[in-house]
Amino acid sequence: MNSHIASSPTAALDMRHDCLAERQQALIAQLDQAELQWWQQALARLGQSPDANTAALLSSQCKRRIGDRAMLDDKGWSQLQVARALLLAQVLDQQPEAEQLPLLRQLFLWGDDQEKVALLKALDWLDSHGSCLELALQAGRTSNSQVFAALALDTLYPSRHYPERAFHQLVLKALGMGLDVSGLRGLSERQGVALNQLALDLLDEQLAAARPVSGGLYLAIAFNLLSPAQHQRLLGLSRQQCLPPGWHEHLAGHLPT
Amino acid sequence: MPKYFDPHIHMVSRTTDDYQNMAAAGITGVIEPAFWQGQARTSLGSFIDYFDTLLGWERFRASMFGIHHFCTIGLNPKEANDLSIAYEVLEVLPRYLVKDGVVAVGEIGYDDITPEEDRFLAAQLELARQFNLPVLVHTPHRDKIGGTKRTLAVIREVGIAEHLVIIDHLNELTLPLVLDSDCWRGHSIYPNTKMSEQRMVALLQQYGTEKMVVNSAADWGISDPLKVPKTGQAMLAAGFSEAQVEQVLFHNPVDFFAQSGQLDKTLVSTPLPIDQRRQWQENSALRGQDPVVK
Repeated sequence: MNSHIASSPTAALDMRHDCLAERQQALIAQLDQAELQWWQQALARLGQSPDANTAALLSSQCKRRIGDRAMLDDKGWSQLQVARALLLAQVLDQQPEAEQLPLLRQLFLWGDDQEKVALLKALDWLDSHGSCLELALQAGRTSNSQVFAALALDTLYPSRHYPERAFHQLVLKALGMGLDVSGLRGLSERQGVALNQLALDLLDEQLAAARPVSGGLYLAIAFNLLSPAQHQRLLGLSRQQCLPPGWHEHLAGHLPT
Repeated sequence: MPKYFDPHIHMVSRTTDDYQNMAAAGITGVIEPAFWQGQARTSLGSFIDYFDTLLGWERFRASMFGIHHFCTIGLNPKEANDLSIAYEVLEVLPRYLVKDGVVAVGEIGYDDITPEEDRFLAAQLELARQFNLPVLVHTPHRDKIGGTKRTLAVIREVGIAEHLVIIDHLNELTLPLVLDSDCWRGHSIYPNTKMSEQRMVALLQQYGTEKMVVNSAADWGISDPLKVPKTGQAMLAAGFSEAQVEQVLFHNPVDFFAQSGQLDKTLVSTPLPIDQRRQWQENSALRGQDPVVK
């Protein structure tokens, strides 16, 4: 069978077990009795048959057995997403080290978009060393903004593991999809002259097309690293009211030396 | 009414109503570039079946409405990143590039601008050179300026004749980069995300009509298969002559793709005769209607 995700050296996934244990506790604390009963049976079943088919089956059944309520301690997650992430963690934990990454790739391929969302949101817990970088890059080629947001926003995975070029593409795609890039963790640490140029090119394209400037575009720009010419040009655009509110403040706060 | 030709439209994603409206608006022919399907394919067989559809059922479906249908075949940039399939697709391309009605290699180019995309862009430009076919190159949505510059550099590295290359989805910032080359200049008139008719007219007023090509790039997204004739209307309203409209919206694209030897300009100057009694593998686009013959 074709694995579809470009292969990379097989490595063990170093999971953040402390985060996963905390999630497990939070989930159990807010499930009702019927949900909890099913959840415990599901974990036991996966413990007896820790394979891709069982994990995929239980992940799908989750949708009907565990309500899609928001987590009480983290509104960015639903119970369903946490449950799916924990199922992944358990089945991965029960594999020989060399089998972990292939299994995660397999489950990613088999998952529907909501299951992909759960996996990508949890990727930083499942893979603290960045062994799944290729899978993440492939997942980022989606046109589904929900799936892309799960990969890009409110997670440290990209800023921890993406090469510079790939991180820049992630920022541009998030802007292109109209996502709120203030949720792009680690963006300020990844700012620089190269990202400045890409952001200014995007700004020029949007102005040329008479389209609204992306709301969060200024967040991609290191204003202190703008060249005097770039800075001057942006000030001119701001004075002509071609830029959204907020830009002028950043420009005024970082006058070039 | 001027003659129109849409040289970039993904008709497998469109309805028979679209074909009828396009024919009524004066579009005599289309070119359907192979592209991605909105989600990644997971096997070579999906590519093969898709290529066969472009050559078979879709061409038949277009003919039911009097429209000449041609296609370009290639590995799109997004899926070039999936090496477990990309090499297999590359291997089957030669047998498709020699088929009747395949007028170019495409659409190829950059998406994320990765080393893998570099490799498959160069390999497919080399294939085009070997088969003496034109090439349709897609420019990326992100880092469009960088991607266009890199596209031009790879074209020069491979050494394919620039007059055999059309660089597509250009805008106000990337067109000037291509004007310095001998490549043809493609523009997609697409609601919201690419060019509008008015912006296209402004580019034609500023840069003239030579090697300028316009398409709808209509696909499964919110798009409009009538953007070519609508651009014609905008050109006429802006004072272009009917001859200039036909130059940009019929002759230029036809002349470019006719370099393949697979597209006869005389033939596509008039609509195909319609005979809806015909079938394709015992299938018809009709659902109980009386077949039109004209």
